Amino acid sequence: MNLYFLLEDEKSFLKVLPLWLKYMNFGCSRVADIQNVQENNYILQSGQGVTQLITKVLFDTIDTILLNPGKIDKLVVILDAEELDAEDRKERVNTQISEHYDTEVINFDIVVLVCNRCFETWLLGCLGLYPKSKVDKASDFYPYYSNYNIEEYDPEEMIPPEDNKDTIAKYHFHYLHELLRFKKIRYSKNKTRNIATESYFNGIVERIDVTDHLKSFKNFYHFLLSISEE
Amino acid sequence: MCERAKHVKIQWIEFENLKTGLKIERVNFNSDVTLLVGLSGVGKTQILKAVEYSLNLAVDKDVILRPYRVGLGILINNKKYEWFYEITKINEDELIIKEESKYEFLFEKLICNGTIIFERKNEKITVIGYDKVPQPKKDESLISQYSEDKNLELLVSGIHKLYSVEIEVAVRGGIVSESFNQLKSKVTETFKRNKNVEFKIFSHLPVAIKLYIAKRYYPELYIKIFDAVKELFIEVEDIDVEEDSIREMYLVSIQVYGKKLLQRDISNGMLKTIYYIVELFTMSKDSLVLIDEFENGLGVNCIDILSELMLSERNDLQFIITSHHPKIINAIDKDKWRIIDRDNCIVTNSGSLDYGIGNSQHDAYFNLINRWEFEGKIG
Repeated sequence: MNLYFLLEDEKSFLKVLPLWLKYMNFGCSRVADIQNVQENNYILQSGQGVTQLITKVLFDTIDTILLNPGKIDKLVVILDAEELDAEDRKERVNTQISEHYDTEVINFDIVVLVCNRCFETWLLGCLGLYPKSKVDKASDFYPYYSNYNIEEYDPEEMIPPEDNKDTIAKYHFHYLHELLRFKKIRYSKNKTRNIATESYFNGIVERIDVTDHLKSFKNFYHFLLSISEE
Repeated sequence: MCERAKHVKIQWIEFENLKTGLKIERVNFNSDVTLLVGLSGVGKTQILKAVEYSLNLAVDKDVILRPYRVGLGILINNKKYEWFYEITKINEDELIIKEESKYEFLFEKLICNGTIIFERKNEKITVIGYDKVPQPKKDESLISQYSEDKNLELLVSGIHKLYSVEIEVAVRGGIVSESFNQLKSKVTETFKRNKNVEFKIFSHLPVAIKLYIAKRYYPELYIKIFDAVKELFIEVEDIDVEEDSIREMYLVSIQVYGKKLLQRDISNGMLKTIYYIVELFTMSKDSLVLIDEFENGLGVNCIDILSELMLSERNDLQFIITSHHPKIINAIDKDKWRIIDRDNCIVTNSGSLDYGIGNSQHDAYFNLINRWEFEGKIG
């Protein structure tokens, strides 16, 4: 089984995904380019943002796969829902593909996975993150802490308070950033070391086992599981 | 009559800074365009500087010597010249060392089509055609010292043709009125003597005076320049050179909506674009153009048009360019790239094919960025 992952993300998720696959014993190893694909390989590339991905990179990738028949079994496109409804986002991609290609020509699977809101939303799902003792009002994290309990409620459902001008996805990023800073853990889109550990990943997986939260992560995780079982 | 240098191209360079230990492995250049791509700090600019320094050193006796070991390949009229030199620090045990003469040539060798033209190693020196030669100056290249020799004439005239253009430094400058007026009268005299003088004799002059000459004496050339500027800035009605009486300087000016704007009122990006265009059309034949970070200071609307103009308008020029901009990287054929990398002090390079780029339908910039990400160089 050979896969071609195309990510909207160009920083954190792109860095973390290969590690997650390793923790899952995914069974495929990463190669740089379609020419290097043999057996049980995957390519992982970033579309450098959603606009470029769905208007250009997606088509270039499909063309590349079509010109290298037999190399790729599945193209997996992973996008953030951000302010859109996750299903809407998925639909837009599928429409783009069907408008540009004769579906009979496409002899490989295309799977579109949507990360509901953004990568940081999934990261907020790791069990045990939310502080157990009261947070001081003077703390930079307090406004986030008091707005939403990400342990008790689903991080995917979190919206910013009315006086916050951030978009939902930005708010999720800032929430995570302040929460981790409060716990003296450094996180930025470039510095992913602290959230890329196996125990952090297991914390998110545990969350979908014990609650019905993070449906989009569950979807993503189960898809990868099904591949590694194949 | 000596042979005229017609087709002059830099073929390769290898460079070592003996003080810092930085070593640039041999980089081969294309005869038209070479795009040096690579992450910041890998040594792209150093390559341009090494080329520029060596060309100056070859023919100019006033260049300050630096502790470098360099090899340079130049092709002139199908003759392959290979020049190697090493400059070293003078024995520091000597008590009195003048600041400017701290370095001297330790080694120098010139080969033409496999034949050694000259070689010096410490005190020992051989020059083709001579049994015995007087001890040359140690602080000047032999190319410069023997520039009149028949075996070197072609090389020297070839190197003089390869004048490298650096536009960045000049863009806000002007020409003081006094020297501008002197130049003007020299130009007038030149035309009095010979009406059909070719523009190339003015090619080395500053942009403002070239523009002045083109507008008054070479209408076809001026129209080319004007049309290219107009393609980018539709509102421009005229380009000229005007005196700024306060600063007593001659500067580039444009006319927009019937109003004259002096250089100081023109935006940086627009001015730089105009300078590029003037240089591009007025540069003498076979020039070598070195441009570091081509996109710097250029508007997004100008970058692709200017790079297209550069690649299509002057096939005789040899460009060596560095850039980080997707539009430029995508505009230049992958075959023309050298991908620059660095392993400690060693600057390495490879072509896009050796690098495994170009196997997919994605654009070149996409492939490059994703390859660097795969290799853990960016993220």
